[in-house]
Amino acid sequence: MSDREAEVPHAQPGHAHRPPFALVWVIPIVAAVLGGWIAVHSWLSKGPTVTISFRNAEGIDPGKTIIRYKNVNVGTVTHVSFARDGSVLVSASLSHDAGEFVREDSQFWVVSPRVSAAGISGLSTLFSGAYVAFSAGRSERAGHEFKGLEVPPPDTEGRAGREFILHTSDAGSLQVGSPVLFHRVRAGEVTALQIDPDGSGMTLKVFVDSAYEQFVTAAVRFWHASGVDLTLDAEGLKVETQSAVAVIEGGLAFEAPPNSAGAAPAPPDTEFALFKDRSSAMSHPYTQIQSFRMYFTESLRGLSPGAPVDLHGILIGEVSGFGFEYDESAGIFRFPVDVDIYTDMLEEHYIAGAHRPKAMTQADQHEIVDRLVAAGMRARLKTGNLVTGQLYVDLDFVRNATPARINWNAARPEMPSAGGGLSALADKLGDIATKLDKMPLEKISGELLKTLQSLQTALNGTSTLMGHLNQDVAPEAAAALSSTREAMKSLGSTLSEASPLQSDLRDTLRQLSRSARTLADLSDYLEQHPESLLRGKPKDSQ
Amino acid sequence: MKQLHSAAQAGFLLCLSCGQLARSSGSLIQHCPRCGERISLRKPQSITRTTAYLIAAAILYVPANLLPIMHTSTLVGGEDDTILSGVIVLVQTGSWPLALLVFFASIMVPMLKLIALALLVISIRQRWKSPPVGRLRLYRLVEFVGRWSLLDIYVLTLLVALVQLQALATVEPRPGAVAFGAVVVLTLLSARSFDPRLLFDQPGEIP
Repeated sequence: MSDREAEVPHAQPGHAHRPPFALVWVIPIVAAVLGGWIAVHSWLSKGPTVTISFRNAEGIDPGKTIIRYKNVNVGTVTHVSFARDGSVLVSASLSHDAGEFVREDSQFWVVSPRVSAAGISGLSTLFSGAYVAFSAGRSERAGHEFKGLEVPPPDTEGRAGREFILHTSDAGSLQVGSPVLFHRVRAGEVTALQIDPDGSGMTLKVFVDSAYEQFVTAAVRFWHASGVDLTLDAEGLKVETQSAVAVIEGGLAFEAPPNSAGAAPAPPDTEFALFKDRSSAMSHPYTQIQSFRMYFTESLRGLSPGAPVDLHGILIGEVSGFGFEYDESAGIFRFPVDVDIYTDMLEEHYIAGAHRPKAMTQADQHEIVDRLVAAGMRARLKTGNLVTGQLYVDLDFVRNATPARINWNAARPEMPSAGGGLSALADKLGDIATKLDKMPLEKISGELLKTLQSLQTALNGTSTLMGHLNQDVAPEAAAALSSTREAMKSLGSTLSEASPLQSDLRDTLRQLSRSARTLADLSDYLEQHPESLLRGKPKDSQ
Repeated sequence: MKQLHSAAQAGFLLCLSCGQLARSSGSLIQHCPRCGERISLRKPQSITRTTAYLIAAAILYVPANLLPIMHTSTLVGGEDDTILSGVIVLVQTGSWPLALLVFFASIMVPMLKLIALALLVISIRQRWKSPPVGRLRLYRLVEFVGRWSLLDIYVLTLLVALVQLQALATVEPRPGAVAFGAVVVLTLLSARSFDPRLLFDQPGEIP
C-alpha cells in the first residue's frame, strides 16, 4: 500500500498571489446595482394611478384594456371594482410622461364603435376592442378621480379656435358635440353643457373653429337651430329649419344682426345669451327701448306678449304685457297694454332729409313722437290673422282724431288710442244707418208705384198683341212652311243622281271638254303654223 | 491504523479536470502533475463563491419575476407577459400540464434552488451535525435540475425567432428575460462552485 502511495505523484507547487478581495463578490454587487437601478427606474417611470367611474364597464377588461392619449398607448386598466353608488370604478395605471396630461379637468371616455347622425367613429375598436381615451386638462392640479363620459367629447384639443360661453334656460336637444352653424355651415360645436349651480339655467360652452371665429363679434346672437320651428303668429305660419344634422341632432346657430357691421371679434370666453329661435334672436337688435302704455276699449282676446307693434305696417316694437287696473277717480276698470317701441328703429326709418340730426337725443325722439301724435297717430288693435284671431297693435294716422298729447314725465307715457277693428266697423254701420235715414223713402215709393202701374198697362198691351199673333199669323205661317217643304222636295228630286238634269249636265260637260281638247289642238297647230291663219291649211299636209 | 475520513487527510489531491490523483506538496498553490491545472484539497473559496453567486441570483430573482419577459403584439393590440402571467394565461386556456411545467421549471425550481443552496451553505458554516448524505442528495438534485430552468428562455428564444409576422403578430423579449436568464446562470454557477466534499469534512481536517 505504501508502495502504491509512493507511486502517486506530487503536485507541482505554483506561485500565485491571493487577491486580497475575492473577485467573485463583484457579481452580487453588480446584480445589486442592476436590481436597484431597475427598481429605481420602474419607480420613477411609474405614472399616476387614476380611478374613473363609469355607468357600466362594457368592453373594459382589466389588464387588457388600454388607456390611450392621442392614440398613443399610455397605460392599462389594472382593475375594475364597484363604487358604493353602483357605478363601476375603473382603475388604471398610466405611464410617467402621459401622467402629466392628466389634470383635474381631464375627461375620460370609452372609445367603441359609435354610429350617430353626425357620423361613424371608433371603427378601429371593432378589432382591437374598446379602449379608454382621455383629453388633457388645463388645470394646474393633477387629478386622480374622474367621472367617465358616456359620449366622447368633441375633439377640440390642439385645434385652433375660440371657446364662448352661452347661457340659456333650455338646452333643448342640444348635447355635447352638437353643431354650431353659421349660415348653415358647421363652424364649431358644443363642447360642454352644464346646469348652473343655482339650477336657474344652463351654461354651454361652444367651440368655434379659427376659420369662423372672426365672425363671432360681440354683437352676434346665438339661437337654437334644433329641429323645425313652426311659428304661428299675427304674421301667419312660418316653418324654419337648419341643416339636416341639426334637425336630427340639435344644434345652434349664430349670426350677426343686420345693423352690427364692423363690430370687433369677441374675445374668447365671451358670454352670450342663447335665444330660442332665430326670430327672437333677431328681434331684439335694438337696444333703445321706450315703453308706452295704451288703453283700449275692445277685448284684448287674441293679444299676446310679443305681438308686433306696427307703424303704418313697419314693425317698430312689441307688446310687452297687458292687464287691467282700477281707476278709482273714474270708478271704472281700464285695460292697459304696455308696448316697447324700439326708438332707434324709429330713428332708422325716420328719413327727413337734411333735417335729420346725426345723433338723436332723447328729446329729438320725443319730438318725433309728438309730431306723429299731433298728425293724428293713434294706437289701434287690429286683427292680424283672421283665422287665428291674433291681434296686433297698429299705430296709424286717424283722420279727425281728438287732439292728444303725450305726457313724457310718466313712467310709462300714455300713447293715445283710437277705436279700431270691430268698433270701427260699428261706426261705419252707424254712418250707413244715418245715410239711410236721410233717404226720401216715401217719395221714392210713390214714384215706384206709378212706374209699376204704367208698366202693368204696357204689359197688358203686349199680351193682346200676343193673342193676335197667335190667332192670325200662326195658321198662315204653317201653310207657308208646308209649301216650302214641297218646293224643297222637288228641288231634291231634280238634283238627285238619276235625274235627267244630272245626265244632261254630264253630257254637256263631256262635250265641253271635247271641244276644249279640239281648241287646244288648234292652238298647237296655229303655234306651229301661224301662216295658216292667212293661207289656210295646205292641202299636201293631209 | 488510523481511520481516514478522506483523501485530504492522507494528503492526496484530486485534479478535477483530468482526474489525476496527486500528493500534496504542502505549498499554497499546487498544480496537477499531468495536465497542469491548478488543484487544491477542496474547491478554492467554495463557500464564498457559492454565497456570492447565490446572493446575486437572489437579487435578480425579484426583477426576473416582476418584469415582463416578453411582449406579444398582435392585430388586436399588444401585451406584456411576466412569467407568472404566462402561467395564468396557460391555466385560463386550459393547458394545465403546460402551466404546471412552466410553473415548476421557471418559478418553483429557481426558488427551491436558491433555498437549497442557501441551506447547504448555512449547514457548512454552522457545522450541522445531521448526516451529510441527505444534503448530498439535495445537492445532486439541485445540480441535475438546474439546467431545466432555462426552459423558459429556450421557449422565448424560439418564439422571438419564429413569431415575426410583422403586423400580424410579433414577439419581443423584454428585460425580465435577461434577469431570469441571469438568475438561472448564477444558480448554476453557484451550484458548481459548491464543493460537496465539504459536507463530509470534519472540523480541523482540512489544513
